[in-house]
Amino acid sequence: MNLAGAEAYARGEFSSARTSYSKAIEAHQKNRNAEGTALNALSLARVEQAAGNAAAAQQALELALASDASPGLRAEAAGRKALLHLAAGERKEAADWQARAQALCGGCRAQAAILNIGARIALAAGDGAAATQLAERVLKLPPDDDTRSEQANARRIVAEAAALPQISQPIAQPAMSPKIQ
Amino acid sequence: MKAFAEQDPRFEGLERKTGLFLALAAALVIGGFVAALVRQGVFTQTTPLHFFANTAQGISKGMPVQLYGFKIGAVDAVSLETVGSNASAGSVRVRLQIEKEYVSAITRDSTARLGKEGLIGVSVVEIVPGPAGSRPVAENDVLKFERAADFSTMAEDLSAQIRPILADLKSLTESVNRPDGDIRQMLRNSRQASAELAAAAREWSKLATNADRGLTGVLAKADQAVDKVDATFAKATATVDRLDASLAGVPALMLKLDRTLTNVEAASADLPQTMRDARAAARDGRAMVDGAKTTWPFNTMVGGAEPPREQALPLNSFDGPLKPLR
Repeated sequence: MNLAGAEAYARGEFSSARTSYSKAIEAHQKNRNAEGTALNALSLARVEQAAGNAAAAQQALELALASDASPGLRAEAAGRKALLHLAAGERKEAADWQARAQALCGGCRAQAAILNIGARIALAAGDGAAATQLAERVLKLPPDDDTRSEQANARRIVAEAAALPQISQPIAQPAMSPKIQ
Repeated sequence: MKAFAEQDPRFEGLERKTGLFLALAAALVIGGFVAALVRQGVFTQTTPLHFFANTAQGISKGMPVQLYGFKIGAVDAVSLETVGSNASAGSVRVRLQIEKEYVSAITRDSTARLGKEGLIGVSVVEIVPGPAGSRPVAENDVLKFERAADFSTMAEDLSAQIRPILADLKSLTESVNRPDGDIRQMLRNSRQASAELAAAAREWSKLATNADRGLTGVLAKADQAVDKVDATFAKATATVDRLDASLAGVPALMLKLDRTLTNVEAASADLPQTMRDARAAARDGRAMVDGAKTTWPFNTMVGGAEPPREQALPLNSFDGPLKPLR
């Protein structure tokens, strides 16, 4: 079911992916498998997010957070919640969830993504320095399958943060001409 | 002049008194004499009986004769019989005087036994009556005689028993004292055997001590060897773990190689001949990989050995809504 869901998602068939992941969740819940429930709920949340169903995505993430799954999976769920709040313009809630994700993660596979989410939240708040700092932490992580794409994201964030003061700086007023005086 | 007057009353009937005194004294004397005689048994009526003995030793006149511990008579005479029948000639005749009142208690086959009162008392002749129903003795009957065991008899019996024992003891002692005798020889052999046993025990003890030391040494070496083996096993275990970890990466590596070869194969389809040769080389490489997949231990690690693990869709910091393709 999980593999079928991933294949459907990769093909862009969100409703098939939704169905597959929902069945996988049911099966794991019957077997009282917290890990299986959580990772399929995470995948369902991504499918719903990709489909633009933020509420359904939140619901799936609540299911993952409420399970007894490992801290790494719950950290990913918190990180995705932060993304959803950020997309909704709710910076405070996004920052709270990012902090929780960072506390749960430690050295989990989503460590780079969670740091970049923090950087994006700082960027949204106009804090270029904080965003750059977080993004540079991602760039310092050893490159592997989990961090390589996020290191690219981190470079993008650094660039956006570098451009940020130019946007935030007030436009300089021209000096009054003598003629006007 | 007369010293005493005829009228002195103290002297009246003096002759009569003196006579009376003398008569009384005489009566007493006679009475005493008669009593003595009675006591002596002079007036006792007795019946003479006889017995014959081998020797008069221990028999004397006047020796009491007893029946059931009561004195019933005495030995009257002891004489050497020189004439008469063979049974009596050359023996001693002893005559007993038995009070008549007790004769009826003595039967003809009674035995006169010479013994002592107690163990060391006076010698007496004891009448041992015969079985009931026998006829009582008559005057001058002859009784059987036997001597009861006394100290001398017992001593003689004991001596007779001890004498052979002493003789044996003497011969045994002589045998022991003889240098070439069996006992000396046996003692000599025993001494030698015990000395040899002691020496053997000392050798065993030495051997045991050496064996113990040797065993201790062997055990110590064995301990060292076991420790080395343990260390080697630990290293081998660590090596196996590392190998296991390395081999764990091989299936993924092989899968990547497989994908790479597939990509190369696809990419080389439209290339010139040189590229087509590379495609052929990639095919060969694939064959090698496929072959390796069927070989142990790789065949246990790749291709359907386990179902694929479930994974969550990865979190990307720029995830957001996507336009669906359908």
